[in-house]
Amino acid sequence: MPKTILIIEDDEFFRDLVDKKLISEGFDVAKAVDGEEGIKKIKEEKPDLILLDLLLPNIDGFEVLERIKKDPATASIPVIILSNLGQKEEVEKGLEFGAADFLIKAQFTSDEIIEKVKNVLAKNR
Amino acid sequence: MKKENCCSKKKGWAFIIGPLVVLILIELWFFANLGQTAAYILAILASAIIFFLIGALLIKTDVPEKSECTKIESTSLTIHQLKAPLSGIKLSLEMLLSGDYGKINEEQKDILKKTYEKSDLLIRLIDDLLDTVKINEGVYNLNLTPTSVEDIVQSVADFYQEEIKKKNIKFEFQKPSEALSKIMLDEKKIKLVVQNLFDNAIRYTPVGGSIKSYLRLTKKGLEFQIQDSGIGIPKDQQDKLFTRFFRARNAIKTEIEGSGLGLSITKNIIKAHNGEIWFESKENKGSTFYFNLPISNKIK
Repeated sequence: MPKTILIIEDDEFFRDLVDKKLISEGFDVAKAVDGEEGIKKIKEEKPDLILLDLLLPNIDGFEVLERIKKDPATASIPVIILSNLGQKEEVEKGLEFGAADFLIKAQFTSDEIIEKVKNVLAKNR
Repeated sequence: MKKENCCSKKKGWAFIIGPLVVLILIELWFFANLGQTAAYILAILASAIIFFLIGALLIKTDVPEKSECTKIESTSLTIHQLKAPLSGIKLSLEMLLSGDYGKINEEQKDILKKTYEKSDLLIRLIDDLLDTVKINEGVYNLNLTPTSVEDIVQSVADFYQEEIKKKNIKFEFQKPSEALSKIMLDEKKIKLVVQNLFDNAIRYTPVGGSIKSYLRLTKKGLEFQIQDSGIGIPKDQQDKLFTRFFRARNAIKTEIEGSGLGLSITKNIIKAHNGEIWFESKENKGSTFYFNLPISNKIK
């Protein structure tokens, strides 16, 4: 059964690119444009992995991450943070809050994003 | 770490203590010599003055800090926002190149590759811009790693070799006889410092001149020196040299491009590392710039 990836990202252009790549690699994809919708979709779709952007409108990415990890029903789902900030403090904060990995959007290729997704999923078995 | 500088309140309270003490002493004198009524009147006047001073101080120290802070934050945010669409652009080009949107011919591949590289360049330029803004404002953290200053100077010297040869400048880099141990430094930023000093030396030295650089261990630490035979800095302009946007009058006259930011950033970085930077210069003879980095955190 194909794994479901939920991508929480408000930049439609970027979101559609990642969506296309994930589907071409055989994943099922669920999408959310902000934190609130994201949390709702987690409960609905029960994804195997979450790609979370940190710069979101309304509730920010860190708060979403916190909520995901605090809820026992969703805490076990691995989260990979996608961000443009990439400062050391942000990376550390994300990992501290329980993210499984961190990706800086401007520095990775689509293949590398897929590789990280596969690695995190494998680790989480 | 240094982010606190921007948003913390200035301790201007010291400026109230002085007048307050004086007022209390006068009050006591009044009480002792002129009787109670006079003393009470003075007490009321004094309280009014003190409240006025406190009020003025609060207003004065609050506004500049806040607007300075918001300015830095909004500049950083604006620069970050430049990166957002670029990430999408870079990714979409990369996916086009990988054939994710269908097969592409050689000509298409070629043009896409070039566009991809340009988008990548743009991202790096924005990162540099972000660094510059932060360094300028003194709002940055040092990323300390064991660094060899020798290697940094050598790589910067190599980078400028072509320009040095073009201007027929005699160049020398004297290293200490024994390899120096590595020091905990922010490699990227120290490289910026060395680049800036080399850049200035080459820029303001005429064709056929000479540039000599030295690296040595002194009692105070690691000292770097770069001596050029260039236009020098006029004596009356020397004390302003490290200020932002300052360019000496003779430098401006040469019509050589310069933003005037380099040395202020350079000084900022050296100071952040607890080092010192200074220079000697004589107009039309040349300048020698020095910086010194303490080796208290030496790595064996």
